[in-house]
Amino acid sequence: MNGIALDGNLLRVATERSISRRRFLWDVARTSAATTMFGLSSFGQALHQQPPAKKLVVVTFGGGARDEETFAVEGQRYIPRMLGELIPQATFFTQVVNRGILGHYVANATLATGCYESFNNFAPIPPSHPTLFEYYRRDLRRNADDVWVIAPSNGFDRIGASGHPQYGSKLGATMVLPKQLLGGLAKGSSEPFDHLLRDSYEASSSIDVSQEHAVSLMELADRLKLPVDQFLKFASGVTSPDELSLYIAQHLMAQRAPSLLWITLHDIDVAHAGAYSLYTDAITRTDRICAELWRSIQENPEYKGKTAMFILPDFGRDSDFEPGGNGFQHHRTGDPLSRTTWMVALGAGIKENISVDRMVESVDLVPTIAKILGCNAAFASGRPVTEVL
Amino acid sequence: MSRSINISDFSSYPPLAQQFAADHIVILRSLPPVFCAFLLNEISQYDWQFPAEREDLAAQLRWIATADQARVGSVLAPFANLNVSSDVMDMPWPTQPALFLERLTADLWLTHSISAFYEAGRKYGDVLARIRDEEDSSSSRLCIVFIGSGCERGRQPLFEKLRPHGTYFSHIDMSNAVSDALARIEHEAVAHPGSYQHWYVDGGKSGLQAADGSDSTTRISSLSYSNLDPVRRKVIEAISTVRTSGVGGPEHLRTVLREMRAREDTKGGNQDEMMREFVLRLFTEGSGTQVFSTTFVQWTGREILRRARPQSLLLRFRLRQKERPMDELLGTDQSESGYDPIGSLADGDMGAYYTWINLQRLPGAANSRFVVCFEDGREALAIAPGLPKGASSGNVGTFKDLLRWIA
Repeated sequence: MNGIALDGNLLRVATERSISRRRFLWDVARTSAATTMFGLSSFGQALHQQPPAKKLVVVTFGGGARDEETFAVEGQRYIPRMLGELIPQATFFTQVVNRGILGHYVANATLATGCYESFNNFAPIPPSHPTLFEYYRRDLRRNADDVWVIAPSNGFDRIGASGHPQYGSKLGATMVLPKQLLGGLAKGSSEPFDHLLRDSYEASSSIDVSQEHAVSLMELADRLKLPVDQFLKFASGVTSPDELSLYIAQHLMAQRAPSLLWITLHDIDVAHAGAYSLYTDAITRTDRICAELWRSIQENPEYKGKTAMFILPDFGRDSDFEPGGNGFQHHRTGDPLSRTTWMVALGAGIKENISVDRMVESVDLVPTIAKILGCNAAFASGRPVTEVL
Repeated sequence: MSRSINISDFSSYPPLAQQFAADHIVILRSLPPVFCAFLLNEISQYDWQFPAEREDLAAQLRWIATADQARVGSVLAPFANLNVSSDVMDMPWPTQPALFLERLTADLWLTHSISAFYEAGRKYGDVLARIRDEEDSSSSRLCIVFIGSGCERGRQPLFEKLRPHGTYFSHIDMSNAVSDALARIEHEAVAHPGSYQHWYVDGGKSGLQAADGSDSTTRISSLSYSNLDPVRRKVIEAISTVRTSGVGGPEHLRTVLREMRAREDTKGGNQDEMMREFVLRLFTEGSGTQVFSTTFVQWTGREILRRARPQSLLLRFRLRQKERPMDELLGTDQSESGYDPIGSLADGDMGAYYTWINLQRLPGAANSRFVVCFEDGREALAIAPGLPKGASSGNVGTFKDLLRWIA
């Protein structure tokens, strides 16, 4: 499947968004030039490029985020850390289009395979095309401890390996579902962790975690070198499942320093409950988590100077003006705004302070990362994004 | 694809729907199946539809029968050309249009045809808007929204998205504003009488007290979150049962909710059958309406505007409960957990903006009047013919004065 047609309307809206994001970043740059927040004399100029990346961290938002609440003028208040800390060091793609199915699991599977996956979003099945993790492990002969995926909820538990006959679970990533881990480790604990074990509003019905891919929780904790008491203590003091994902990611980087780490955040999807303030709170939390991850990378000698990080939502959400939707609440209409989003790339081998206005697609992520890491994404339908190579 | 439609296909429809479908079977047979299924889904709800919706259905079928057939053909052709899997099209769609549409939607996503479908819908929507414009006999509609009851003002600017479209007032005395607004809706109801044409929705306890102690009057259709608690709990119970059964996922849940029907035990307030069904749909189809009162008010306002196309509407956003684990929010233990005043104000502000957008979708939108007020403060914003856009006013006055200024 190649996704929906790239028709005139989608192209027009995606381009308009791109221009609007670009204009906004220019405004930010001008402001910051005066306040030396970025310390730049001009914007849109390649000022610095680091050596090629040896390690990769990918952060996806498995809860679509719109421009209005991120990179549009009125959205800037919700992403202060990305604007202030990450964008000045990044190549920013203003026009990333997802022409596939706008469900979070299937869209993240699309991001992980580089092909528009076509399966029931709520079905517990693996992607049909090989994932980045499988390409990397097979071509570079890496073991499972070098490739990790931290995914938000039960629905994502199959994203670490495809059902492709030439690849499959034997080459998949090591999966961590932080909520599942917490649920298992917390048995017998007197602390209440219910607030972290919730599922999203949209996927509030229970779906069984596949046993085929579930490593025993104690074994997983052991592989993570996770001190259970500390983990439970941390969990008792945080308010969101994505904070747990950040904790696991930071711990994993400190203890095992995997070469490929994929994290899907999901708090933003609270938008389905229709409370705008909870949606924007989640965006701000996600913004902070991205900045904290980047800080952890910079503070870890195993990662500093040799790691690239990619941040992108899986897609947008419905436009306020699409009659078939209800604005930010859902992503059901498939309108151009719900298909158009952005991507931030920064770190080793990636130019700083560059804005790329041409359209790229969600399926381009895997071929791009594969090229950086030196593996062959043979079945991916996207094309490498040359601006970060 | 060429499945024929028979009168017997309508046997599971309620009585008025059966009759309406039978009366129009010749036209229905001439339509592309996907489009016909959409119409049949509407028709199957005929017994519980508001007058505006019934008029809509009749007008659409009249247009299909009497308009230039080449034009009708070109508008409906995109529905006939959709790429739909044969196993979906083999379903008994005239008998079970709702189930068919549920499967069709999933299929359109899987076959990457959803955009083509929305494009077809947009084209038909343009025709529908023209039909509605021609049939519309409404006067200038009035919509009043209160936000921020019980909320601290905070530092965020209010009505930010609406300001470019109207005039911001900074010195409005809101004492008695809610009762003045209710009196104004009552006044509109006297001036422009009609079934389901005047509405009051409250995110807390109703401010309306009729002589018989109920929160409805003969002229105003009224809903309050508080009074509808039994219905809300019933729906949450159904959701909870599906969630804990371990059988099926979100799609199964959707089917269970769709098949719920209003019964006496889900009755909330003094309502007729049409209203009971409407209320049930607010909770079964509205995502988040079961857990957050702000979502309920916004979604209810949207559905009233979309379905009843009222002459006047008063929405009152109240405090919503704090965020809690979804398992708790959708669990059977519905004990109070405290409120989120800052979040409630932001939700209400966005809800007001969406209400205005939905008002703009109705015929005669250019003549409509819209007011949103911060209930516990002095700020308001009004959009009406003759009022400047993107302007601020320091005029001092009461809420009653404000209503007079937009009259």
